[in-house]
Amino acid sequence: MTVKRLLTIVGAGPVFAVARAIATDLEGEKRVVAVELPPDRIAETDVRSMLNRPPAESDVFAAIGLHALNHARADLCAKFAEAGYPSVTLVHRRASVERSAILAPNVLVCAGASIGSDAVVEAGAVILDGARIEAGARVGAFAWIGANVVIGFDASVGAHTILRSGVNVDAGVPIGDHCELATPGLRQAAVVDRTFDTAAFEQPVRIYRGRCRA
Amino acid sequence: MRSLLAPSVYNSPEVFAREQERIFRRLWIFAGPRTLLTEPDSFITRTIGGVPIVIQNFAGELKAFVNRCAHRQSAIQIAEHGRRRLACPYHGWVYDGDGKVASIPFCDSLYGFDDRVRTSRHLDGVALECVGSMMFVNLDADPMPLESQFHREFLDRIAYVSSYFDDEVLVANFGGGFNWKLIFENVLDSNHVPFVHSGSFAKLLPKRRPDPVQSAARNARTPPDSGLTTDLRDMSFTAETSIEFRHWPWHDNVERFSNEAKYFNYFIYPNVNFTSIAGVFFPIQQFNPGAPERTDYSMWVLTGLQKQPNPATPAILWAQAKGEKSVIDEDIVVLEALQRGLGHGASPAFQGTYETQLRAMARNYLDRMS
Repeated sequence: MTVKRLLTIVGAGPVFAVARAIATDLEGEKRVVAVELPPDRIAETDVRSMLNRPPAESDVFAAIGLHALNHARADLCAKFAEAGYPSVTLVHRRASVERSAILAPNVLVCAGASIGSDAVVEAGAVILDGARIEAGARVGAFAWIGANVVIGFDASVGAHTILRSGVNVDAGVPIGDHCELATPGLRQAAVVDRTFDTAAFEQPVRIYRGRCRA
Repeated sequence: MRSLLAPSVYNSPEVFAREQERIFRRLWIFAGPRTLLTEPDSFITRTIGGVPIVIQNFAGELKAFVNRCAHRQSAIQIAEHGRRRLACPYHGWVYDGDGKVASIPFCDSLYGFDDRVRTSRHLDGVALECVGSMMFVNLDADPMPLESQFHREFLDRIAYVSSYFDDEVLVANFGGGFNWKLIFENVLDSNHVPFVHSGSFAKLLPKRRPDPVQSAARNARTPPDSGLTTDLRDMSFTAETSIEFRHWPWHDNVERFSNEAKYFNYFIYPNVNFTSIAGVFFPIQQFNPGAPERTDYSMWVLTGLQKQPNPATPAILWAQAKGEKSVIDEDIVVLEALQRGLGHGASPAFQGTYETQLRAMARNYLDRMS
């Protein structure tokens, strides 16, 4: 007897609602199971008992927002992988993804977003409504691309980085890992890792490491 | 009682210039966490007392200099932190750990300097002391001993606490439209917390209850100014209070100097509020005089030593920094309004018993300025 696989959406907040809606639209209500899990309970959660179903019977999607620079979502994905559950990618029907683009597992592409040819979106990234990832651009793992953000040709956005609405990245410009950019405007110069540029501070905030790490 | 400080000391350009000379270029001033300078050729730059400073790691030894090239006075290190040898970006003059010119590109052909002339050029050295993982500099040509500014027990304490600093450090700079003394007075004034921070920081602190000590304080008279300490060392001290502190799994990865759910304050005169939240976080705030009516904040946020590298540390530090800043913003609103009120016709503050520490600080300040 073949067991029909389910798709379990796990998470909380607006991303959870969006992911659930996309999944239901794509797969039908009967195949989608939604399990609420707030970010601060991920660490203590045993995903196998929470899902109540073996990996052979369910795909999963971690639908956690940008909590802790997207680390909460990464932690949940890691738990799924460790427990053997395959993560899916969710692309809204009204999003456009070029055939040569590469989308890794647990990527969420929302309505009106577009992913250009040869662009790469790494695991766990969230591409919100109307965002445009142009040809050859790269979005790092667990990055968060805000609504209507444009990532120019061959530009790159590092892992865990958050780009809020109103921030655009010019062609070829690299944005580092673990950044949060919220000051609106076109970024035409590289942004180094661990830079935070938001209205909360007059000048960009940096995190430095005294000791070099591999 | 009226404050010892007239309103004009908070907005006068003459007083500001005198403070830079008498306080910030004479006392030991905190310069940053030492854990930023672990690697050879790593450096930080600061401006202290109006003077640009560079502190650089030379093969493990830390040295501080005025950050002005002996050639055209250009800044030698421009970034606030980095790793490169001490070489001027303008014309390539290179300096050694003694601040002497080690090499000049095209020295013979362009400058015509012989070795004697070349080696006679050097950077101005700045006294540097490390107290645990906290670096202090002193711009005075004949700096006072550190023990003349701080009690030995205080130095030992901050040395011990800071020995737990991790080497991943968040650095933020921002400003407030008020005199630097107002914010240092503010952090010494715990009574503002339930009013200014009622929706934020105050929620983490125990509810205020009448206690015998407070009742005694209420009934006590404000000590006469003749009884105020004049010992500079008494201006820096420690305080601690209980705090609500939620445990997160990543805390188990941190070596802590204390496991108590406490908020530890180390007030470092003249301008640092060094704190620790339960030994997990170390937010450090420094109030630099930018202008008579402007304070340039420097803020560092670190965790305790991490036993294993934690990839989420940037998120942790950034979240803590945003929380700290939101509380500081509440102070900024009040202090900017206070500063605006210190114009023509303003009177000195009228203080009560609990403000004795502020009076002592004012007395000491006047001694230094006279």
